[in-house]
Amino acid sequence: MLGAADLQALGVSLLLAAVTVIGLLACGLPLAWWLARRDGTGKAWLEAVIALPLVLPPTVLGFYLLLLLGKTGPLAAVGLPPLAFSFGGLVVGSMIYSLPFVVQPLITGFENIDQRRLDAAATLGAGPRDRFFSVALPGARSAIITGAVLGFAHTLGEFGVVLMLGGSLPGETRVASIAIYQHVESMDLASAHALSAVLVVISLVLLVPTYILRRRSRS
Amino acid sequence: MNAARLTCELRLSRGDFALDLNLDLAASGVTALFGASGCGKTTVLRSLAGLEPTVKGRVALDGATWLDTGNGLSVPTHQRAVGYVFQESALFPHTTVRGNLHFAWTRTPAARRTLDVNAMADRTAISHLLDRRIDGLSGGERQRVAIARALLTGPRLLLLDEPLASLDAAGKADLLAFLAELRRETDVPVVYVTHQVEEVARLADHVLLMDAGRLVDRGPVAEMLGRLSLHASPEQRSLAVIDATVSAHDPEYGIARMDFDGGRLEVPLATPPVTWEARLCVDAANVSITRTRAEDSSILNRLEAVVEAIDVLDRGHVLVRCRVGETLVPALITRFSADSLDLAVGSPCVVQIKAVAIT
Repeated sequence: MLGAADLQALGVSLLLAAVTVIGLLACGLPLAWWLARRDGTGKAWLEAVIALPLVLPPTVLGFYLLLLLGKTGPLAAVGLPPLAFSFGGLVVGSMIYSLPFVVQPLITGFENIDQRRLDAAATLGAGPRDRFFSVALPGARSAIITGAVLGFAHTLGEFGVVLMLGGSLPGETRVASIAIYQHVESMDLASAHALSAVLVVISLVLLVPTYILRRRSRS
Repeated sequence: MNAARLTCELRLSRGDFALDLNLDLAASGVTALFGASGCGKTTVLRSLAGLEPTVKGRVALDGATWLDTGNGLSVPTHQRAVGYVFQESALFPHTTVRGNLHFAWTRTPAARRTLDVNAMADRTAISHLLDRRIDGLSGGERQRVAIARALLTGPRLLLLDEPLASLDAAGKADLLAFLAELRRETDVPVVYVTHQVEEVARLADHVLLMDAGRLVDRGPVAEMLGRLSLHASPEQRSLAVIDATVSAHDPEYGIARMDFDGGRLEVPLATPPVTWEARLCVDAANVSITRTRAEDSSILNRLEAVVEAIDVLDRGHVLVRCRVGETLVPALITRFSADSLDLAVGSPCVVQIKAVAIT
C-alpha cells in the first residue's frame, strides 16, 4: 500500500524524531537536573518558558522560527547558514516543539530522587559530576525513558511547525504528517489511510510499553 | 592512646532555629550526641560531613581542616574522609548490595583502603546478601549494608544518625548487638546521634547533651546516664553501665562471673563469652535496695553501696543513685520503700540486681 515516496517520508519522520530526541536528551538532562535542584521565581519563569510549546499554536512557533532561521534572519546575519527549509531547521524546530514533553518528565524524575542518596554518594567520595552520572541518571531511569518516548512520538506527529518551516522537500523535509495532508488534498484517501495507520501503530507500540514500565516502577 | 582530636565551632540559623556549638573532643571511641528531636543533633552531624552549605565556623579533625569559613575554606563532602549512615539507609536501589559496596570501594583513595568488598561483607556478616537487590532487604539488613558501605571508604570519622530509628523491636536489638561488637573491633571514632538512653548506655564512651542548638552538658557515659534520664522521655528508664571483665564461666549452670571496680556479678550466660571485656547494662527497675545483706534471696547479685543522691520522680517513685565502687547504679523504687528504709544521702546499703543485659 505504501509507495516509495511514502516510505521515504516515513523514513524522514523517524530520523527526525530520533535526532530530536538525542538532541533533547543532551540539552534536557543537564537543564532538568539544574532546574530540579533549584527553587524560586527564576525557576518558575524558566519552567513557564519550557511549557510554552504546549500552549502556543505550532504555527506561531513555526512563524518565529522561520524569521529566526530564514535567509534574512538574525542568525544568517551573523554568518550562520540559513536552516529554514532544511532537515537541520526541522531538527531545531522539533527540539523546541517537543521540549516540554522531554524536559518535564525529567524534572519530575530528578525531583523524586531521595536527596539522602545523593548526600550518601557524596560521603562515599562521589563529586558532583559523578553523582549526576552514577546516582541521578540511574535513579531517573524510568523518567528518562518516558521523556524520550513522549518526545519521539510527539515529533512523529508534528505538523504545524514543519509546514511553516520545512516546506515539503522529498527526502529532506517531507515528513509523514505532511505526506498525509497532501494525500488528502489530492483525494488519495487510500494512501492517507495507509500512512495514518502506520503512524497510529508506531505510536501505540512506543506508548504502551512505556506506560506499563511507568506503572511497574511506581509500585 | 590515639591523641587525635575533633574540634568544631558551628553556627547556623534557619528560621527560629539557631545552632551555636563549640566542641573539642578526643577523636576516639563512641561519642553520643544526645537530645530531644529538633535540638540540632542531625544538623551538627551534617555540618561535620559538609552537607550543610550555610553553616559557618570551623571543623578540624586531627590536623586536617575541613571548614574554616573565616578563611573561605570549605572542603566539599566528597573530599572529607567521613562515613555517614542515615536514619533510613540511603542505599542505591538501582543496584545490588555488592554494587553499593563497590560504589564506595572504587571511590576510595588507595591510601585509605583497608578491607575490600568481600572482606568487609564478611566482617559485617552480610556476605550472604551480596547479590540481593536493596528492595528485598529488611530494615536491619539495609542498615548493616549502609554501615559496611561507609566503613569501606576507610573513614577517619564515622557519623551515625539514629541508625535504629526506622527498625522494629527485633531489628533494633539485633543491630544494637552488631554495633556493640563493631565498637569493640574498630578504632574509627564514631559520633552517634540518638535520643534513646539505652543506645547511649550500650554503645557510648562519651556523651554530649544538646538542647535548642547548644551543648548543655558533656561527660563520660557512666557519669552522664543519670543526667540524661532527666532529658529523656518518661518511658525511658535509667540505666547503669558497668564495664566488667569475665573471670569465669560455669557451663553447668550457665553462669558467668564478671568483675568490676565495685565487686563481682553473676550473670546468666548460656555459652562462654567470646571476649573477656563486657559492658553490662542494668535497668534501674531491676535494682532493689536493702539495708542489710539478705543471704536467703534468689537474687544472686548483692553489692555494698552508698547512696549518693535521691531524685523524687513523682508522688510514688524515687530514683536512688547508689555508688558501687566507682560505678553508679541507679535503683527505681517506691518512695514508700525509700522512707521505710530510712534512706538518705550517704546511707550505706546493699543493692540487689535482678537481671542484667550484656552487650
